[in-house]
Amino acid sequence: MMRSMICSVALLCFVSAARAQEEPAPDAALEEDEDRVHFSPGLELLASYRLQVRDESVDGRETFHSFVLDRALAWLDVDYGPVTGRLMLEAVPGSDEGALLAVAGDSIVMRVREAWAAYDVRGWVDIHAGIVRTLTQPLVEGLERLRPIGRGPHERFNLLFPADVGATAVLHLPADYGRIGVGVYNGESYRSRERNRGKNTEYLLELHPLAAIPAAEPLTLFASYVLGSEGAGSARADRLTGGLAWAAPWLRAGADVTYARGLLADGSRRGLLLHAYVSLRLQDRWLLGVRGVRFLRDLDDGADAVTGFEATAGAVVYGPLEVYAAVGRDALGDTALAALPGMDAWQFEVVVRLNALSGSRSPATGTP
Amino acid sequence: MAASAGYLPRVKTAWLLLLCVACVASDVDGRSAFIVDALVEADVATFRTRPGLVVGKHGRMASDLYSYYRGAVPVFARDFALSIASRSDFALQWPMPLSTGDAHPENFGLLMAADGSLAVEPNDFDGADRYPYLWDLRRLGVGLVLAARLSNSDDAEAQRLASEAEGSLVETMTRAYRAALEAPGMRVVEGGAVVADLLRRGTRDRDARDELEGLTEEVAGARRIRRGVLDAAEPTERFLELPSFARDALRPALAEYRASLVDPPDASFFALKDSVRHLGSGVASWPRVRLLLLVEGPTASLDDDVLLELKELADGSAPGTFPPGRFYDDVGSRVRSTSRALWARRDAEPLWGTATFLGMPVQVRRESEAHKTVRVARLEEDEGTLEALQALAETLGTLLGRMHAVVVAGIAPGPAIARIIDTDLEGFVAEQVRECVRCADRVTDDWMLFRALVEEDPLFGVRPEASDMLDPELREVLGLEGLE
Repeated sequence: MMRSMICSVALLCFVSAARAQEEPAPDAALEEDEDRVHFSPGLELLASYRLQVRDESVDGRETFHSFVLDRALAWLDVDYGPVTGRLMLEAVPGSDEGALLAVAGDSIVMRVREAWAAYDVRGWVDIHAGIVRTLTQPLVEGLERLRPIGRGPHERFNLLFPADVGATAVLHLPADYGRIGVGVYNGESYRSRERNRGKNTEYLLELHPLAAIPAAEPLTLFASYVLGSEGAGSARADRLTGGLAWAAPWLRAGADVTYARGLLADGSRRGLLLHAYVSLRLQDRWLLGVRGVRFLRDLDDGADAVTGFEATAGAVVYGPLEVYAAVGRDALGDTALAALPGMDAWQFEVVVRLNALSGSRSPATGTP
Repeated sequence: MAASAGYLPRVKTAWLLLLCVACVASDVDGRSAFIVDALVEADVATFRTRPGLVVGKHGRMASDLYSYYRGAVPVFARDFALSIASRSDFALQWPMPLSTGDAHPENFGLLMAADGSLAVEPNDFDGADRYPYLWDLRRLGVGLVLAARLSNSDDAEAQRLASEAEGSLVETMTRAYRAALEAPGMRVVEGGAVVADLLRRGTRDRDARDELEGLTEEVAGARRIRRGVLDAAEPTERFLELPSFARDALRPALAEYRASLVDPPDASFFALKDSVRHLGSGVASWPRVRLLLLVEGPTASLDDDVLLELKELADGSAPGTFPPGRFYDDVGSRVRSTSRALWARRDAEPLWGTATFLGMPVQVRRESEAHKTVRVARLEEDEGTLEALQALAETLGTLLGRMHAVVVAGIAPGPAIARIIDTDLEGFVAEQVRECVRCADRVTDDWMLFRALVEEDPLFGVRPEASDMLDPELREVLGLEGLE
């Protein structure tokens, strides 16, 4: 209770501090527009045909192929002047056979991924509350712009989550120099209700140090820290992430590193994720990209590691319809090989993406 | 920018306040958190919908080390995925053999085949699926080490000798396992003093139909199942009246069950005479629905009535990382397919089948006193000597090897496993000894932590909410009303 109170007080102070700044001159046209409620629906669908090829045969075959609905997002944004909100539903393949009473299942699951209300304080600070996007994971995914070929490594290895139940406050620095954000969450992500008394806090500093120079504006530096716990046992789950990226509309290139203290509810385990990527968008139609990952699952054992890459070439077919061809491979260190049977395989994919946005924010990045 | 006046000092103030939040949002390191999270994560729906039964399960797990080991498969699974229990120079990605999913010694015991003969077989398929071969080998090896340490509870010297031999038990088991990987599958009807004791008692109780004597009574010319606590030494084990709607649901369930059998008897065999809710049995399956059914049997005579156990099934712990991830259409087909493949003969227990009861997948099997299970608590006197323990290790290693040699989808995992072991047999044996003893030490430490956790809060802080409340009828079947 005391922790919650302190968290709340801190957030309120943060808001008050930002509110107290001098207000910009009002815009008459904007004020008129603020009197109306705007609804903006959106839809993103990622469906793929996936072929896995292994060095060894599984039941007499080296390959396995399937059609997969990677995810489907449908959302409705609401704008009313400085007040905004979003309800986003997510459909993903379920992972369990059973339900509450072990009724056989294993179907597509639809659940709420985001459900928040937000208030924009004079363009300087925005506050979100509800099931909100976290700060770091959406940033990394948005910088990389390779979500169509699979979840980013931070989410895939359960280091960071895209959304959680809680609140965020983001302070935008002047002249687009970046932002400072803080979030307080349950820490169980949007997939589970709260399981412990501890609350996760996330801090993000995103900088565009050369924003004053148009040619160098895309240079992005960021650092974030998640002070977290997970699970019913409140195991430590801290994440320190730092990254450098070039985030121009046509070229995304960057690298980041995440130091994890506490993995899979083992609070004493330390891991390290190295992530690098390049994605190129040509003539607003063609997309080429590659992502490389090395995840050291245990810093005390160098052989407990997963190393992989994914590469893609894609094209905008028509309007919101995109098609990608992708190839990827994970290689496991000796220790990880025994613990993670089945991961070591080539994967070829054809991905269809429907990305229909009528609103002002894309779900991945939150940027126009 | 005009608005920047006074901006930075306020940001600094706000930032300092936020750092205060960081200072209070502390969390916990350590193994206790790991144990709690593994157990809750694996069974969170049960925690929320059947808290009273989870308390009973945790009480049983806290009562003795071996019960903890039996109930802590989710902790083992987490250890395996984090390379804590899976560390090996002999990892094999594929093929994955068929497995019960939890091959510890107490999951082996006598089963009575269609011809009435008894043999030692795996007898728990709740989590059966395809698993890495090292998963099974480690579960069995650690179980043997714990069994040695817990044997001869009334004889300190014999216990000391058994404990000192724990490594050699794992070695014996490992060598027997390797030898059986390519040997023809045989029924196990001998294997030292422990198996001999099982067969002696099993044969005696099979012939006497001891389960009818112990669990039923004749009232006004009809047989019925006794109610209440039948064994004063086990006060938590109770037989309760089943609500009428559940009794009605049993008839279609029995018809479905009959159709799942290899060679089903006539429908008249399964004419339902009585049924009760069975509470307080098992360890991992403690919170599951468990019923005891009395059916007609081969004739209308009261003497050949048959008892059946109906038990709710749930998902297993298989890693499921190889595509398609699930190798069976549903829980029932998983249990049926694996059991019949892993036994030496498909009718090793001819009344072992599956059905659906009130929407739940369930397993139904014969309840018989002939089905004696290996019990660590009985490893004493003649069954607790080094010779007896070595013979048990050899028997169970052979059985596991036989199970892993079973051809699945046209592929025999045995030769592939044998090949990787044979790259350095002595190194493999030494590794299993080292890792199983190390894991057993950790399980022992875990149990101490678990006891402290349960003493503090048997639900580990998971508090059901109003929306978690089950339908009143289901609560009645589960026996929850008397527990909360």
